[in-house]
Amino acid sequence: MLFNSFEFIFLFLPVVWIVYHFLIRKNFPRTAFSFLVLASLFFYGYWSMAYLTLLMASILVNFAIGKVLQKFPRKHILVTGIVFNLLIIIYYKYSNFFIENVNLFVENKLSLLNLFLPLGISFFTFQQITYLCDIFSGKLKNSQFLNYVLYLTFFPHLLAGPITHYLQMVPQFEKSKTTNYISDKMLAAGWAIFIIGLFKKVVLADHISPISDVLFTNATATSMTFADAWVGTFAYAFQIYYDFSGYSDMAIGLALMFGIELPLNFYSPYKSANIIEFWRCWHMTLSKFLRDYLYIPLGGSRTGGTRRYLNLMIVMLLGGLWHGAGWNFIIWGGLHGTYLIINHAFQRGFKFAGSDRSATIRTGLFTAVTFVAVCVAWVFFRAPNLLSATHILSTALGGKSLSMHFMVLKSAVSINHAPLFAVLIFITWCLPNVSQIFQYQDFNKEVQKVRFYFDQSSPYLMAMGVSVLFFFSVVFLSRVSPFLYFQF
Amino acid sequence: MNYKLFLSKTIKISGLGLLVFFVYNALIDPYEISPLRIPIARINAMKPATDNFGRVHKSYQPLYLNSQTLILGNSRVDRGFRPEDIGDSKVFNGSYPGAVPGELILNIKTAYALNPQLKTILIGVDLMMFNHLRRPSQVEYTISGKNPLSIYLDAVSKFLKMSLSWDTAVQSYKTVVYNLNNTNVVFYSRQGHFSFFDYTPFNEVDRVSDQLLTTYASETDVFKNYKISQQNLEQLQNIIAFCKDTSIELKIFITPTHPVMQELLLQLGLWPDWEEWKRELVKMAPIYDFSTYNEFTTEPLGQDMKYYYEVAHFKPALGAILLRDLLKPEGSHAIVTVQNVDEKLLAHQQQHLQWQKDNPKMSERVHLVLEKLKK
Repeated sequence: MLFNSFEFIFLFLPVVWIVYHFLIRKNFPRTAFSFLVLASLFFYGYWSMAYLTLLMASILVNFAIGKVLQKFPRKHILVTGIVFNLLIIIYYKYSNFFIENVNLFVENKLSLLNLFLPLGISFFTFQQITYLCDIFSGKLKNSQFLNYVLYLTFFPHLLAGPITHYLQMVPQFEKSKTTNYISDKMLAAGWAIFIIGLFKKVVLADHISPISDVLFTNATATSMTFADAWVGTFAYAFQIYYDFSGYSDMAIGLALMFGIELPLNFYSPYKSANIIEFWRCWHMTLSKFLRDYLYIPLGGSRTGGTRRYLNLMIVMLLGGLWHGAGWNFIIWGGLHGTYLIINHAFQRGFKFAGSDRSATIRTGLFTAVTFVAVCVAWVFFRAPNLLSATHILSTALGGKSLSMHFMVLKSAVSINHAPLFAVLIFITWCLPNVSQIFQYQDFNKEVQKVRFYFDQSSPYLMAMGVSVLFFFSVVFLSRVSPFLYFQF
Repeated sequence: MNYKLFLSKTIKISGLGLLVFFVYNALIDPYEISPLRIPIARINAMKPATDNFGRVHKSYQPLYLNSQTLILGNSRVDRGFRPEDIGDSKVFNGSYPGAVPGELILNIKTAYALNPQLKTILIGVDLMMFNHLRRPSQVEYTISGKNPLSIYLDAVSKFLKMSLSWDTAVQSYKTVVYNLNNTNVVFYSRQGHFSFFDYTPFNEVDRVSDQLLTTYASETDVFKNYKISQQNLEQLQNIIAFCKDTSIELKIFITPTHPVMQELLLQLGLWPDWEEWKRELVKMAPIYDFSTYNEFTTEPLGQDMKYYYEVAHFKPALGAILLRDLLKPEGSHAIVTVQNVDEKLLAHQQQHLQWQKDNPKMSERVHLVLEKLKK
């Protein structure tokens, strides 16, 4: 089930919320948690019952390994657990990629496996690895099965994160046992954040996506202009940001409605003035996971110069592969690894001085350069194959005569797409983000605290604003497309 | 902030907004799917949106009708069969543009689940319906279900979704504007014929025909790089099996195809596919082949044609002749079976060659369209 569906918004969410709160208020916390687990499994199984079995089997095995680790904290047990999780994800996500590449070098071609990728596998696999690592390192002394299942399957973060730790989540559920209620503040903020996320996904991302789809699906089939290449690439940059950050906001908002604070996942990444900052603001929980469970174990920045850069590149290449099984994703990761190495080297070599005004101009310039660099990498991320990606980039970087390009830029692009781009540019670079509006998890601290910026706002004004966003999100949820007769 | 007040106001404001929006769309009912059906003159009595949303419109009709004979097919059948012409009120034309067998089987199952008295189904097919790129593509608003209850639930849920859609609001607005500026135009007749063409006769048969020939030759989901879809053939086989299991009499017919269109197939090198496709069909069941030539189907292209709107769609005058032929109990000379298919195909080839000889200008016209495309 998707958050942006009628079934979820008008049936699943109200029913689950009402029953859960009823049980919590009547002081039946264990029953409430069990109900939430069942509801979350229904949420997941609504998509495919077959993969529900896989999810449950994976949970059982990891919990068992965790119990053994608690008694015998040996490295080989931890390694067994990690390998088990990696084998599942490798089988479902990477086996066909592996076969395709082997087939390039052998005469007797291997057949591809008929596999569908279980939704959310990349997320729940990583979370189970963090669980085992936390037990091994002694951070997590004891865990209960119901809590563990609830932590993993809690529907707001089951399909697309944010990636959380057991210790981030379970104490919050336990807290609701003693308080017996979820505050109006949390409920109000949760609802408002959910609506903002829904609006980002349904209205912003889904309206910009046709522009990028046209470019990327026809990249090699049609003649493309300089303007087409850039407009399509920028469109995709906005699409993926509003799609993913919208989904993360919905997850955060929904969790708040159940009294749970999930970690922040996006903090205006396109406002970043360099790539290091970008990765602190983009998919923050994945960056943190890769830092804590890959970069630091590899030696992190302690190993100095070249080795540090090598570690960075390894982390980014694997991060790219995590996003998808394809060379496109590996190249995307490699590009970001290269950007990060250049950025680190640049930071060490240069110090800027000057007035506030020159600093502002410099920041603006660096922000623009960072955004363009990120967009160039997005071309590999989105393109269906390497040929399409190189075709788009060679056109975008000036593979055709300039006079022709500017002519197209004037006639086609500015007229059709300018208003939508103007709105997106304004929202992206001029408006505060969800964290700033709600002061949700102050960016520079890891303190989990909700303070309300909109505390001072008029409830009428705020209700009007949120209602308008909700109205437009709902009416754009379902599209009824015409069948254009004369084409057929 | 008073959070309770914020929450209650949000629910009230957005709830009221969505309710007004829903009532507006449900009342205007641009696709003519609402159970309310309140026609208001100069507001919503005419439904121009049913033109491009024929699939949605037709999908809902089995909920409100009780027909014994159902005619199905794509735009050719939708425009060409007016059941009112044969005076049988129990016949309904459930066709819509772009229909493929994978969708038609859903329509048949729904119609049968709601009305087990369904006796006869007539299915009109053509070559483009079996293009390998043609899949059931827009079925998100096709009503389906295993029993009447699940069908009604599906219909209600899809009606709610459509009535809360911005796209529907746009169509509602266009409906009101159209009703303010026009009078007495029927888009779909009561028995499902798309009658709009009869109210606005074509003044440009030649231009429209050339446009259609160009589109058909250049679009991959029509005749460009054409391949027969095995999947669509299997779906037709499923329809045959379903009708057999439920004792519904099924008659499959190939729709009339103007010789100019057949000349396009010949010049595109698709005549062998055209014949292979017919052979595949007759392997499944006897077929009524109305694409062969006679005094009606070979009507010269031009203004004031009696039997064709343009090169791709025939008129109800021809549809009525075919419908009588299909419904007469004693059978028809148009029936092709495994036994006579070779003989019929050869005869048809000769008929076309003769037509070519008699109409060199038409053949040249198709050639020019293809030459233009090459450039």
